[in-house]
Amino acid sequence: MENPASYDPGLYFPRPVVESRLARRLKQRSKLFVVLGPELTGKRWIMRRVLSGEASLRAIWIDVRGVNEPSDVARQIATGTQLALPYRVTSAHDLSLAVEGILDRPTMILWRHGELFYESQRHGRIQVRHLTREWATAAAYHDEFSRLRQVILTSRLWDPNYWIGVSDETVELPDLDARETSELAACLGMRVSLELAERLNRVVGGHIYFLRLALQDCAKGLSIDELCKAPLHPRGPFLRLYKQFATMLNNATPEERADARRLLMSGDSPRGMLADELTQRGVIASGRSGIRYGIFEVFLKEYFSR
Amino acid sequence: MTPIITGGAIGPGDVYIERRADAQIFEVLRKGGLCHVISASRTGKTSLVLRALRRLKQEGFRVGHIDITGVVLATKDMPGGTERAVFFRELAKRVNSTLRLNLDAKEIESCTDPAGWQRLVRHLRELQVPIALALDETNSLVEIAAKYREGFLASFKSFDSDRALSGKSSVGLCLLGYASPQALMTRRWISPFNVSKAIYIDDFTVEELYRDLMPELEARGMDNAREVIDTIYGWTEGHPYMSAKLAELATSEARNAEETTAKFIDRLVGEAFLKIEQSREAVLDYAVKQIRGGDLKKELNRLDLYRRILEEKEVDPGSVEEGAELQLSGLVRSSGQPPRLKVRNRIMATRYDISWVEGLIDATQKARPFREAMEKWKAGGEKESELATVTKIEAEVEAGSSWDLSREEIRFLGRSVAQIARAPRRAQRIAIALSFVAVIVTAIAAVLVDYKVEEREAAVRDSRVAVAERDEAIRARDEMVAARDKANQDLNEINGRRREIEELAKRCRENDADARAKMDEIALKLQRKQHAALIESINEAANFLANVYDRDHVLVTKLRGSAWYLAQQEEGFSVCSLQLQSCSTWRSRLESERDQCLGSLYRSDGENRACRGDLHACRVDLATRTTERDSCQASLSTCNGFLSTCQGSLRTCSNSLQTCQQALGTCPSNLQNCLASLGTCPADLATQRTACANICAATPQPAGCPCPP
Repeated sequence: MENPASYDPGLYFPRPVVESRLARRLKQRSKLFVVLGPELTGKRWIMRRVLSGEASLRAIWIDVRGVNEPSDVARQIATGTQLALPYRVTSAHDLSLAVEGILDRPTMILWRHGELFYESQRHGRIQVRHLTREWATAAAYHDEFSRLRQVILTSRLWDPNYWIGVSDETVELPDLDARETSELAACLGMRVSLELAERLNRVVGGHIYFLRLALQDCAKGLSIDELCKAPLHPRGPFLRLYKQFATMLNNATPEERADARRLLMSGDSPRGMLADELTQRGVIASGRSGIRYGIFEVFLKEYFSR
Repeated sequence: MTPIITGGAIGPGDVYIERRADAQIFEVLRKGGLCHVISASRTGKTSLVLRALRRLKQEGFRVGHIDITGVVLATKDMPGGTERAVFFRELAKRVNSTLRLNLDAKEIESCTDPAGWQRLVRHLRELQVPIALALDETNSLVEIAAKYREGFLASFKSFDSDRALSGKSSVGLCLLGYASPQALMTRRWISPFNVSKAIYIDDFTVEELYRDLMPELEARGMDNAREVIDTIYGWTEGHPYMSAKLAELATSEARNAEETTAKFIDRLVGEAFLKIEQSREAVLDYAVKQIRGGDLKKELNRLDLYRRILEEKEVDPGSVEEGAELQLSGLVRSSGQPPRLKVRNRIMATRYDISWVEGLIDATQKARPFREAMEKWKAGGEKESELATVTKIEAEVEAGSSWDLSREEIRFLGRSVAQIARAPRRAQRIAIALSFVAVIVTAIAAVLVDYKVEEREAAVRDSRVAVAERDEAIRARDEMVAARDKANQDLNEINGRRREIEELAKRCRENDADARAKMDEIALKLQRKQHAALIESINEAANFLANVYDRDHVLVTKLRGSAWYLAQQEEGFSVCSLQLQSCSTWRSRLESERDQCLGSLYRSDGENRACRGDLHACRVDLATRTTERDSCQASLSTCNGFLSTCQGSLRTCSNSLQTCQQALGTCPSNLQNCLASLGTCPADLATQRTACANICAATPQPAGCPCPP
């Protein structure tokens, strides 16, 4: 299963705890909050699910990957929503005026790939990053901007204080536990006992995407027991992912590989660019030591045993 | 449920705890004055001023809030010389848009320096519209060049003078930030902070919390709200952000069944502030970054002062600068009369206790040579001669295990090591390269990860080996120095022997006096000849040189003139180039406008032709319809004629009818006669009606004709 590009309610796995926290934020009209979770853990889907219950709120999705200048944000707004912006945007200030012009009703801007606000030194992107703070502050006194809310979807917090200064909360997506894994299996038409789900969680970890992959492949013939014994089974879903992981490590510097080995041996978190890459994928978690998901431990062991 | 905001500015409808500063700032802005709010981060500066602005807006003020960081960001990556212009122009644009002034575009474009900004502010005053403007995050101003930053800030002093002279002002200005006035203004005699009103934000009192926060907690179903507030206050002593955060957590987190209120709050404090990683909590991260960093000496002074405060509980502020800086970090506060510095609250005292500060002082001291070398290097314009030596690097490595190197420090370390590796002497290079390997290995280990004990010992063994080899290289060098000294000694011996030989030669010459005398005579003659020739040649050379100097002088003068002329030409050329560029730009712009005009002209022509065609068609249609109308009118007049005739007949018949009716009353016998005469009238009328109908039928009925068919 590839990561679906668009939200499919039929494939959505309900996560009531997180959904209620997000719904609370919407109900309290939070100006800005952050949704934190590794890639492929369903941040976007959860937000779509929660927003589906807010018909009066207009949602505008902005992908930071396509933002190099403030005018790129304007372009994404125009193409995504068919709104006519009242200003020609050439600077950050113009973008503020243009966004103000469309705030005739409650609006939420959801910034995807928020970690990219810090990845480069592109000046235009830094200006847009600052605008998110300005708009959150303006919401407190400005009539139009009081109708604007923002959500930053990010796989890591580079500088947690940047948005913590203006955000009401950072909602971190929790990992699935054994019970939820069992429920996920039921959604996929499988009966998985709690004990088996625990075993699968230990081997793979609570990453929803990986669990879904494992369960889907298990539905096609490979048993969970076989997968737990040999996670990199040729008929399993993880061999391909392992190869991608190995390529990433092959492209790293020797010092970074040594850091990765140390992570495996003693749980010490690496630093620098490798740490960012690993946090984004979910191998490690910000501020915590050790490997986050068991499947990555399998990958690292396999890689360093060669 | 009213939200308790813990991040960002508090808006209308959120829980807000009013303080003394609220009334102060409102009054100053309402009267059109100048004020500043300088305090640590997360104390509610922005919420304070936004609340005042909202109140003023309700009173008819035009209000605006500008984040200076955005203005500073707009100036980044600008070509040299334009940064200042972009800063002021951007500021003017934001003032215009946030206050909705609709200023002339030329007025905004002309605001390119502090004088332009002052003109703008005076213009705002002349508008006679009450205005309140807040400039937030003034700490961002430290990133721009001091020259125009100070000019910009000094303009506020003029603003205040103008206000004093005119007696009244309709423009209130407020500066907010967490940078101290000393950091922003080095020339203190023109600092606006001398004349603006300082608004101090105090922490909440417990009474204020009872008044404004307790109702919200009770509304959320908390029975022992007062006890919760007391416990929170015991930890935070009214710190705005911390109190709000704990209150929010107290209402959202579940309490365990056997947990007392105190234990519950203690648990929340632990999770939110004591056990959390520092970088994940803004107020803690900010406090530590403020107390560390900057000048090494001042950092040590700040740490020392903080340690004293922890030990003595209350300290006289003493040195104003470090005390003020510590207050701005948020770790300490000043209270009481006379003012005493003490730790901000129990949370700060618990997390950043004496062992923490002593460890920090120790690490800073160990890294002192390195830090001092780095500061000297930065002050000297990053010259290579100021890079660190091996000794200083080793000192840093020793302190490195508890030192989190900043990027600047890593850059300095890297360049120092690279320079050492390029050292000219071979013996030194070998020794230092070995040390470089050892130093780099241990430096990278200390910066990147926390080594385990055996790995660290292995690194130390390696470095010891490297140091031993370095010592060996130093010994080799010493041997070479000894060899050189020996060679010098030999040389001295040789010189001595040479002198002896000269002595011998001298004695030989003295013994042979006659021969020597003759030789001297010949030599003297020769010398005189040579001397004369030499003098002659010297004179010739002097004359030649004089000529050369003269020519040279002329050439130099000409060259200078040429250079000046060339510089003038180049300047003129660069001016011409700029003018040409701007002309090209204008030309291209005009061309595009011309193209647009041509395009619209063509379009207009086409439309014009189409209109003409339509007009012609309309005229034709109109002529046709006019003809039809005329014929219709003719028919209508004919019909009217007939109608009037019919009406005349009808009147006649009516009269006849009346006569007959009169007669009928008297003579029924005449009735038949009357009826007979009446019978002819409808017949006549029918005849005439038929005639009319025949005429109408003969005439084509135009569209819209009211006559029935």
